[in-house]
Amino acid sequence: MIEFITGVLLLSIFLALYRIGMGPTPSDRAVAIDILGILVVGFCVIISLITGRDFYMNVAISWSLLAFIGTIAIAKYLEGKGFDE
Amino acid sequence: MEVAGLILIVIGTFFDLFGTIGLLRLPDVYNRLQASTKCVTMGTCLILFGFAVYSGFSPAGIKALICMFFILITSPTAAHALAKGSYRAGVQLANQSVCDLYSDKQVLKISAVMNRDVITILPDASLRQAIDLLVEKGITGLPVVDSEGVLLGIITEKDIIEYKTHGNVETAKVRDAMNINVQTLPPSAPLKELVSIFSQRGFRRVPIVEDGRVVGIVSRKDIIKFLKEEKK
Repeated sequence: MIEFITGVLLLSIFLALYRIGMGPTPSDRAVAIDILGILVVGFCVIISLITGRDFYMNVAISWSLLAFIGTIAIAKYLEGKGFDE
Repeated sequence: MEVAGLILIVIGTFFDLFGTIGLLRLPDVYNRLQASTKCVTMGTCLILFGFAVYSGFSPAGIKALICMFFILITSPTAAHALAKGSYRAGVQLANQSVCDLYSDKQVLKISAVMNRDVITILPDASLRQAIDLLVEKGITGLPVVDSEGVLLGIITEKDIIEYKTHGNVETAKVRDAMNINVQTLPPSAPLKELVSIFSQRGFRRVPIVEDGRVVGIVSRKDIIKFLKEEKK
């Protein structure tokens, strides 16, 4: 069961990686990176489930926040504005 | 509880998979964004919730719920910022897009294209006069208006030819041969509407009517002329 879940999640992660690689615009890559971040959060949960260690949940929380901040930064950069606007 | 948690996690992984398939297959940034953000947020939240159900009231389960809360707030915000940023950065919409309401460009109106110097004819003029006018001005149809400028009908080459099969052109008046069922459009209508009338209903010209009065006319030739000028 858990192997199946891991397989499906890995497949989704590879699809997101394909979009990061292929682009074609920087925005496509930014979207895919954002999605990859959320997928990784899900993956951390699965790892936590497999190993039985709570430690990965901390990784998941910090990863979700970092992915958010990173995406906002990229979006602002694409918009061509500074961060204080 | 463990089974319920695992079922939620499996559903969540499938949401994740379908979201990334959308990311892979849809044509432009905005479509990819809307497909993948919603599906993947939902999927990951289901995984986190499933984990919370699976592990019960434990530190890990609480952390999963907190993480779910974070993602529910941050992911749509990030997606919105990205869409806005992409639009400002000039990323084009896919060709299949139907409308772009965020754009500054106005929809092309008929008033931009229409010919304002309409040659009209009174209903009591003779048919001979109408024929002379058509030949002289090199046009194919005349809106028939009364002295106030109110549209009564239209007389075209086709109407005259049809009238000739059963009437005497020499003695007839415009009123006898004109077509009363006229397709008209207001000047504020989008040009697309006009083009679809031309292509689907086979009309060659459409009088543009505002408050019952003829303010312009658009023939197929006017659109071609407009296209030529637009290119310059």
